[in-house]
Amino acid sequence: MSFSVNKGEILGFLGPNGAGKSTTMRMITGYLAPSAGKVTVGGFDMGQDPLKAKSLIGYLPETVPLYPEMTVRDYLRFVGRLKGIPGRELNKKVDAAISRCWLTTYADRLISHLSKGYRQRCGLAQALIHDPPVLILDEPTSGLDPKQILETRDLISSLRGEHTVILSTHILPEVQNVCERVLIINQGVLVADESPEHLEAKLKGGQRIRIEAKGPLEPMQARLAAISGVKSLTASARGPEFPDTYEFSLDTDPHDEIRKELASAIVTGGWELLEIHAERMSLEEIFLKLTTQDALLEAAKEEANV
Amino acid sequence: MSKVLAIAGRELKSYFVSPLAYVVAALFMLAAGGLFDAILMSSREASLRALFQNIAVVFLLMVPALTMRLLAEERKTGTIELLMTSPISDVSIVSGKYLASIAYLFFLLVLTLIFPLTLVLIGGNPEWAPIWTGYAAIFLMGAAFMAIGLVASSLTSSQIVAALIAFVISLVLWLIPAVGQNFGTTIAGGFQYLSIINHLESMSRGVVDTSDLLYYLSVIGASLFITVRSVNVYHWR
Repeated sequence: MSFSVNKGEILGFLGPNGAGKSTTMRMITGYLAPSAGKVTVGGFDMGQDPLKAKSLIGYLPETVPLYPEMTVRDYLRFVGRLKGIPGRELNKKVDAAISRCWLTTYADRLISHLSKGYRQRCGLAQALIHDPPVLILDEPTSGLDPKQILETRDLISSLRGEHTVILSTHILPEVQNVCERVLIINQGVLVADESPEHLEAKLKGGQRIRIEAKGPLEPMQARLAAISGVKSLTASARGPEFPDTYEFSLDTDPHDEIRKELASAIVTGGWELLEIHAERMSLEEIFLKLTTQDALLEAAKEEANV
Repeated sequence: MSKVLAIAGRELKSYFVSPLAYVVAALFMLAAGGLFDAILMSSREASLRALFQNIAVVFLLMVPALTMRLLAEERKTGTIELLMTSPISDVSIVSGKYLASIAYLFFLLVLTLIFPLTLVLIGGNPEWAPIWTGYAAIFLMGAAFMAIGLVASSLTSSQIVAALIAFVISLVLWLIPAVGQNFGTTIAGGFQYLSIINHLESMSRGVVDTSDLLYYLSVIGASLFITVRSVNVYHWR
């Protein structure tokens, strides 16, 4: 799995539970060492220069790392010192993080007395405290009520531009609302790397069919493109080992089953059909897994909008 | 350094906002006071030598309970992830934790200053040199137990298991001369040197031998080194 994130971008990790989202994030933040490969943050290699790389990151782990016996303010002061905020700026930064995460009325309460939603906010405040250029948020909205989810999304959206954000979720609307780019991970493998719009089109609006055939390029291409239901078509040669063999990739309407027409078009043209298959089944499966948890949230969101 | 102090400070604060620190201190003083009284009444000597030996036993039993949570709890609750993704080295994390436990040990021993004070108040004329070297020795010994406890706490996320490991290692170091008795005098002497209690005995006579200091400092150094390595391993699982 390999990917990079540009400055100021909001990237979403999407995948069912146990897909490897948290593990990936733990590697990015330097908590887990990758058994192979490397992580670079802001030009610093996590393996070579961990302290510099870590100082650029704010991290909200899946289980919020809180000390229940501390007050919110004490806790944030502690984290601020860990992140290396100098003493004279500490109070200012703590106050800023408290107000940014709507914790003002709870600042002097013990964390053990906070509800799940406020603990989550406290974790977010902790990640933001040193104004890190990179934010890694592992399921930032889990355990929140619908109103809090919307507030948190707004907060994350407000970080666009100045911060680079990677967030993980198993809730699809979250990435659609907040992220500019989505990575779908399943069982530790990167399945897709798309913008949410493309992803949506891919999941809902289309089906991609791949055809491998042997024959002259132009007539084959023309014949395929002429079939109704084919929205777009790209062709590529298989390489010098396979002369006259081409791979066609067709975006089609998912409601029409046109594989039969495609196959007979090649065969009746007198060319050799080597392979034909519809793609992205795995993506659809993942999508299904994701959307099953989704209906609830959609309903909640509508309620909140009313 | 400020980060080490932040970790140590948080650790101490969490000791002192919970009843644990006070309960432990109260029980410790109850035990130490009882022992002081019993020893003084039977020996009628203005000396703390025997008391230090007895406090050592109390430490053997008590220190594992004090150190068990240091790293095990952070792992259990997941806060270790915060520490290990902050711009702070594993060495600093371990140092902060150790510093906090040493500070608590120091606090306990300050409480016991009431005993030499009592000796003076009841008209005794104690010899001060062995008292101060005894304090240095009991501090070093407690610090060695604390370091062993820290290793144990780094090995598991279960506090009970951590306490047991710490207790067993400490006990082995305590009883190790018995093993040496089966061998010749040279080897037996070596085993004597490994005993954590013998060095306390020799130091509380009022003489500071560098070999005693070296012993405690080696136990502490080795333990902290192993702890750092063991914390480092968290990155790999």
